[in-house]
Amino acid sequence: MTVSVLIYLITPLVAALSQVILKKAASNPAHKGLRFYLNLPAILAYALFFGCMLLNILALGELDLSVAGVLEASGYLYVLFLSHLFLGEKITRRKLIGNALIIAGIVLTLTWK
Amino acid sequence: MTPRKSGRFQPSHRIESPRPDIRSYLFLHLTLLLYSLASVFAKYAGLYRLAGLWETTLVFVGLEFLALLVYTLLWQLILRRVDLSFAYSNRAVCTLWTILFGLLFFGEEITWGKAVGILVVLAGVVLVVTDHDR
Repeated sequence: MTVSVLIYLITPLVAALSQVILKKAASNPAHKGLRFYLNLPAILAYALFFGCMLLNILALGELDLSVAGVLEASGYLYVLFLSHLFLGEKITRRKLIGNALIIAGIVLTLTWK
Repeated sequence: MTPRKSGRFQPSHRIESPRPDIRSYLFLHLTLLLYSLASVFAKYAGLYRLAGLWETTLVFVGLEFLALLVYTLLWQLILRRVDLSFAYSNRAVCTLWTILFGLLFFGEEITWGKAVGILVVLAGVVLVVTDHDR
């Protein structure tokens, strides 16, 4: 149980990181044609994401789907902070409140019976 | 959180993505619709597996895989043009599609919690999308 929760605390962060790597790869003008998809950072991003998916499937054997969904929603905040840190995207108050509402809404759909 | 005008604390490696025009925004949302559709195929695959109909199960697993593959290729194209934090926040609309598809295809009940939750999620997406101070 604790291991499964731990997995679901870490995989949203790693998945968010894979999105940042993918964004870097996609924004690189040198990646033309097939190289747009087949380049080292993009493949690394997909490998990381696939690894997270496999770990999540393992954890879902023990975790309730709604618990998993709530923990997974943390990804919205991770993407916001990592895209600021590594891509220089702005964190505005509006974005922060918007993403907080998104997470609150997801928690509501999953927990309010 | 971040200084607005000076940009002093902006990392120097800022990747400039222009504000998405209406076409790339539509493209983003069609892509997200496809992503939500993948979960419908997955659900059908699960149901047919339970019914022991293996061939139909495989067809829906194939459809799910295809939808996810196309979604992945399109998502990367979107990231070429749009800020990651912007594109990612829009993914939350999949909450609406998934619950709506659950009702349409599988007769799943929309509870008060789901209805209110969807509204809160959409309010959040609207806040992010209408943020003009990027």
